[in-house]
Amino acid sequence: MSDIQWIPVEASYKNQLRFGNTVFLGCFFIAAIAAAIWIDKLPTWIPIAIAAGIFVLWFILFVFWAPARCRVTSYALETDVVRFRLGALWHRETSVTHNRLQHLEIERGPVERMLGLSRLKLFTAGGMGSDLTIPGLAPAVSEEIRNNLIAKIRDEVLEDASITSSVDAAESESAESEVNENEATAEQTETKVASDTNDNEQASDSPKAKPE
Amino acid sequence: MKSDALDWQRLPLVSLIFFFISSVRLTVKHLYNALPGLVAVFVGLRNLLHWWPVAVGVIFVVLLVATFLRYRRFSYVLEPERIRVRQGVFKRSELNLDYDRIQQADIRRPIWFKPFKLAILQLQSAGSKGSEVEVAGLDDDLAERLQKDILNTLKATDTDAEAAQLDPNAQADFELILPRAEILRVGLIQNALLVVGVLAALLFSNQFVSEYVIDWLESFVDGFASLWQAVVILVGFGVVALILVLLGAVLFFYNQYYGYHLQRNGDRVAYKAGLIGSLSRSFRIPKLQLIEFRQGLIARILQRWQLRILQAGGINDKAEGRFTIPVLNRDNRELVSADLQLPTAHWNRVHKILIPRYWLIPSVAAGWILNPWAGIGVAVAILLLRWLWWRNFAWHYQGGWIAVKSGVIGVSERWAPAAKMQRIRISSNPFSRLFNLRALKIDTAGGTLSIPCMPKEQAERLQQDILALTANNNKRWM
Repeated sequence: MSDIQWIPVEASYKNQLRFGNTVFLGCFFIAAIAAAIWIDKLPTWIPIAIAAGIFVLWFILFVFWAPARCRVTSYALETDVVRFRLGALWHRETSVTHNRLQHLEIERGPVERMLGLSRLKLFTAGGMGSDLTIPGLAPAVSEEIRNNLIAKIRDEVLEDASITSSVDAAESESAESEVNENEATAEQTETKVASDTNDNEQASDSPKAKPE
Repeated sequence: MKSDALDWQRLPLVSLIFFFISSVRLTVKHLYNALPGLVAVFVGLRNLLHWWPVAVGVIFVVLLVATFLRYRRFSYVLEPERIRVRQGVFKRSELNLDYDRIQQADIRRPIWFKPFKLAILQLQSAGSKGSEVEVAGLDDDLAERLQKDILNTLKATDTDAEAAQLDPNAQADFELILPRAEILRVGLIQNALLVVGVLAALLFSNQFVSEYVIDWLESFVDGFASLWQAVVILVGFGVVALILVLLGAVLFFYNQYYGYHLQRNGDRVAYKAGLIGSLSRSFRIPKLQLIEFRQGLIARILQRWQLRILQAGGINDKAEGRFTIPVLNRDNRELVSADLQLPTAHWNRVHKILIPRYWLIPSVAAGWILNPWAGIGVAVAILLLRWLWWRNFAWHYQGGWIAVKSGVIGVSERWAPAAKMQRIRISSNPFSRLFNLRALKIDTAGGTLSIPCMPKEQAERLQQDILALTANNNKRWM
């Protein structure tokens, strides 16, 4: 789709990927070298070949995969939807609507701090692993996105009617009394969000008093 | 919070039974987990083994003390909008649960509570595992009233309107009663063969046990005049065992679902069932996240379905904790579907390229390791299975519901209200891009629906439609 305005993540995100690969493959590489030196019963060429294979893999990941993945990794902020896509060969595009967000989180690991990056996590109620993580964002950007999202969520009004319901008549009857109730809950959430936005780094916000 | 003013209630003395049984269950679980350690103790301290009555006695005393302490430390308050529960012996906790967060409310009446007219109230919230409240030993009528009240407090302000509808004597909006003949079928359609499979796997999982079994089998066969005779006898035993297992399953489920009676009053759906003990389970339609129709092999032959309604949370929970209709014939299935406002299904198939997936590697491996004929056999078998799978697989999106049907021999159909979607994911790999195909995955709070191998345009349109539907829907989804 051409009309989606994809915003790429920071270019230094590929260094974060490279670092991760290097650490992960480095362990196996060292293990293979160690095996070549100390395990006498094994013909030396086997661990050497494994080590060489790991090196080639690392090289491919370092030179081709990391930039490709970084190029694809991008996000789009639309009026109602947050989209995020990633992958070098296996592409995945995940979308979440604003009215299903449960809470937001900004995370910065040691490597990310070194590279000046941060990660924005959007949590929904879809059970395990149903969150959407946007990595490789500049801290200022992720904070701005988070604050915008919270503001949008705060302005949202939840109707009292349910999506699935067998009671249709009761809904229209009690519609008037529901409006007042909605305003009351909106005010409550506003004060909650205001107190939450004060803390910045590693902060976890509950933008909305949603029924859980 | 005027926490001091709260009227903390205690449970009646009879509840000690509940705590004792729960303690025994916990102990058995812990002992089972500690089995390797126990074996080490058994081997290391063999000469102290004659002390075992003392050990058992100590465990029993500890159990009694724990039961009593747990009972003493348990108290609860029922407030107009929430329930508070204090419990724990060493680690004390106070749990607050707002009624409008409750996904499902159960009342269990085990046989040992029946003479005392007491019941166990169990409330499930949407949180992760273990966030449920169990209050054992409530007065029967009180529990029943609570179950009703709790599920009506979602909109505390306008309960009056609904309360009028929920007059217990009033006619239910929807009713389903399962006759005994249907309930006898529940055990049959549960795939009792699976139980046999699990038992066999258990027998042969342990080398020690499996050697013992094989030795026993050999000596058993040696005792007969001819091999055929032994085989006939063994097969006979097997058939008898199978019938026993099946009979056991039938009786078990007959007891569990005896007198199954489902009622819907307004948004509240409840069923009551049970012969020896009984269970009454209820939830509100607005909490519904996913509906699952299941049909195993035997169920397919008998043309019966099983229905499960899932709410948010506890995705990994066991099936017996779910709102279930254990057996549905065609007519009842249509009635229930109509009452749940499910639209008529318009099934769409996916691309045929799905068939040869997972086919090449196992076939080549079998051909290489065994012989080429085995490879061809495996290839044909997998292709056949995959073809069956493809033929059974279908998806539906219409009337605000999204559904996926899948299975090889048995079939399961999962329906979710599209606007309750939490997250939608569209993915592709180099191979699927070659055929212009995409996979779609729709997460709801009750589970995930996956549709592989859709044409790109179709997948993107579906994604766009569902996103727009959800984004513009500000009604309660939970």
